[in-house]
Amino acid sequence: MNPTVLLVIVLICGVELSFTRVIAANVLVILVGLVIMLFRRANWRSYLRLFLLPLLPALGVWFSLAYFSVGHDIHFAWVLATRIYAYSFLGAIFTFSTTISETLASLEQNAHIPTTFVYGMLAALNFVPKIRSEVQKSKVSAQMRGITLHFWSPQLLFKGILAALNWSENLAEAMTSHGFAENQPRTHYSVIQIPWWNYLVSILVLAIFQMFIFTGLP
Amino acid sequence: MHEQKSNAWHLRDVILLTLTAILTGVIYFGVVFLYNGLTALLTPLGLAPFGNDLILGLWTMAAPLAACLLQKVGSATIGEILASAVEAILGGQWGISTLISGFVQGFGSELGFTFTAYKRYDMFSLSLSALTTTIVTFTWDLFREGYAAYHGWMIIALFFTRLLSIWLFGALLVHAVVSLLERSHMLRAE
Amino acid sequence: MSYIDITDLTFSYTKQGPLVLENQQLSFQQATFNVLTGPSGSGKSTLLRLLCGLFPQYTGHLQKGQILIDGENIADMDISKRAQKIAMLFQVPAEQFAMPTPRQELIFTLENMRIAPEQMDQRITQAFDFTGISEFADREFSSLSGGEQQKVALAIILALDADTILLDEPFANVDPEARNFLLHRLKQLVSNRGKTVIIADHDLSDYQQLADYLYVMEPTQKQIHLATEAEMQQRFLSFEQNRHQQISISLPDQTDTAEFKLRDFSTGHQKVLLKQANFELMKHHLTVFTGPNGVGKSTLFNSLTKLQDYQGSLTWENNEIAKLKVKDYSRHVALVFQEPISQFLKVTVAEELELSLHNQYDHAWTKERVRDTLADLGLTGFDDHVVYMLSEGQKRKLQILLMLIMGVPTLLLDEPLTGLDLVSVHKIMQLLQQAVRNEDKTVIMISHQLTDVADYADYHISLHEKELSYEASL
Repeated sequence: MNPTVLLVIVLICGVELSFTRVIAANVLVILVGLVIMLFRRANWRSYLRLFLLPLLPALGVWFSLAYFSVGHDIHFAWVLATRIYAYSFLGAIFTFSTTISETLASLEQNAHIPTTFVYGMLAALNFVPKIRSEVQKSKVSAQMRGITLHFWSPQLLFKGILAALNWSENLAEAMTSHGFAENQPRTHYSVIQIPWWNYLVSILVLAIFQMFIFTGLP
Repeated sequence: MHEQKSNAWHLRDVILLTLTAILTGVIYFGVVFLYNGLTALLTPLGLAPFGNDLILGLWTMAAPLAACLLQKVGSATIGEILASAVEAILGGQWGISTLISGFVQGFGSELGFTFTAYKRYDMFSLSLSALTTTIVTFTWDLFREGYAAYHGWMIIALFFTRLLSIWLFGALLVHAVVSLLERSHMLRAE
Repeated sequence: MSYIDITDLTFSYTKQGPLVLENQQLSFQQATFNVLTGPSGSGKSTLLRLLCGLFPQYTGHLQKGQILIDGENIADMDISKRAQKIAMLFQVPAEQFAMPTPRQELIFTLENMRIAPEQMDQRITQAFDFTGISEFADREFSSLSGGEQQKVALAIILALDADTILLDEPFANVDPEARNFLLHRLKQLVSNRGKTVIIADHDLSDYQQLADYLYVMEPTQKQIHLATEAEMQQRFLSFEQNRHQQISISLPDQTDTAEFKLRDFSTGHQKVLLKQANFELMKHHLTVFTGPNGVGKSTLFNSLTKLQDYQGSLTWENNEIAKLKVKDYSRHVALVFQEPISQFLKVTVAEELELSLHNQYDHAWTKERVRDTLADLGLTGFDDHVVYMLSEGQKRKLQILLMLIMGVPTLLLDEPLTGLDLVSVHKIMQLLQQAVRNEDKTVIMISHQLTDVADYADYHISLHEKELSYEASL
């Protein structure tokens, strides 16, 4: 599937899930997610992660609805608990079907998101390790002056943003020097298209999903 | 104090906001463990949503920060969407659904600056923005998190917990950081 | 008319602020190798950024004047055309790439130039071959050394096929081998392909055989001038002569106690830079630590201060450093960072001084002593100034003073003399020497400048071919 098309489907389903009270729809999303993961030969760690990470929030919401909802609505408690899993699997459906760079390329070529956003984000994402060490450096440096910085200390963000201001300037200059002009046409080494059957599948998927939501399933 | 800034989005702005989003992610990564611990503690009592609302301010900081750094129409919304995209890409807990909540949070925060006509980026605007963020995200969570199903007292308590958290991080802390930046003359002012 | 013509150029960073260049007239000839020199922070990189149009696009105000390249005004060119005329290789290797790998960065660049996809592979292969980077074309930038990254940056400029190549202090993080390789490739580009090279460097070594012209920045006059043949030879010569005359220096003996011990130690950010079976760093002395760029001196300091992981054993007072808590350890061993601003936590000079005075460990510094030292360093009257707005030299002096006031027993300094004038160098060295002699501190400092440092040093260690050793001369 084309990443943009997939993203649109996933986002529509995500919004719809937020407003429905159908356990079956949540379970459907979870099952589809599992099938895609099986098909993509996900390793056991991914399954474990997807099972464990939502566990606590799901339990949390189940208990609080069971105790404190008007009329101790157990059905709704199950809706919410499975919904949290459904959100996670919606994410999995997407991440196991495509990659970040493919998605960004598709958003540029198919969804026509301004290139300034696509490449600005992409460039900044390479700085994750540098940002980590900068935060670490700020903490150690403060310690050497007799100060302990906590996550709520303004200095931590302040020092980080100072570095970010400098990096954003350097990166933007370098990208300009490499010929990047904001929102100007570019050629593409690998052209990404939306095959006709993508539309067909989308309509089918969304139709089935509506059937689950609106036909009075529990 | 500031001249009205152009509303065009330049490469440098996008990079800066994405870097800032990653930065907040890195700084608050540890807090996720705190959140999990808190939720685990509160779950058997049926009070887990309070854990969520107590730290929600951390996830909504990107919007007011972006608004103050760039002072453009839409910077809060776009800043928070970028932050949630970063979160989704770097493997946040909720993947794609963070994109949706990112939009809702950004929009909520944006209103605070819209109501002050994008002219003020002081404690007043930031507090107003904290209030609009709370109202918008809370309304959304009445459906999404099923808050509407709770008893009245719990809904009210959750609302004020959330307001407190968003004000502490999104107004008080952001204001402290922005004051430091302004005093140091490192924001591109002219 | 010359290939590049600068007329009446006047530039400042802020509208009313001080001028960096004033009424500058300058020209560059096609197919020549040009070196631009001058003190660091004097405006060399400003000129390069003006030449390729990044200024005033990103920063500053062009008060008047124009730059013509090949008869065309740089201000009127669109960005992709500009990039094909004149491209830049930047000072910080890692901060010039938008994509994760060299190949992707090259593709990104060619896409920007609107090159047809079917022509891309050929251009990429040629650029990779010329710069010798094919073997790591698909590795992530974060795993490449400074020298490798600068080779990639050159490959990109070749793929752009830019006529003029600008280089802004490109060798600060580059090891000597890579520097040599890059310099000779650049010379080839000038003689065989008619490219014009303009390189800003404060270090003039190795340029005598390569340079056709030398340009000199005079910051006091806000002017750059073309050196005459005689001046050029004279400058190259005096640079060689000013090179440090070695003096002999003692080696550690049995009376010394070791503070840090390395056993089967290795460390390195991208690859192993340092591999040491056995070594000791001595207490209560002033040790100067030398070695070429990019070989791992800072990396060792980072390991010593828990900012970088290591393998094997590294101990402080017989405690394994990896096991020490930052909070306790930093009361004993502290780093004066290479970038002064990394040391700052507050906004004004007075606030910074107040913080160090308040938190100092042995209360050896009184307000009066601080005031006198400030006067000695020429920092009087800056109390209300914002630390980030000080000149590079002022930042550096303040940074060192802040850490001296803290009174931590062991101070590691990473190139503390960069950008300081001669008077300041001596003042700082005196302060460091006093700390060692009178207050029993340990000082270990990385330095490239040796001429005025040797007299103050007790010991000299050098890092060469991944190994540390004590030297009998400095």
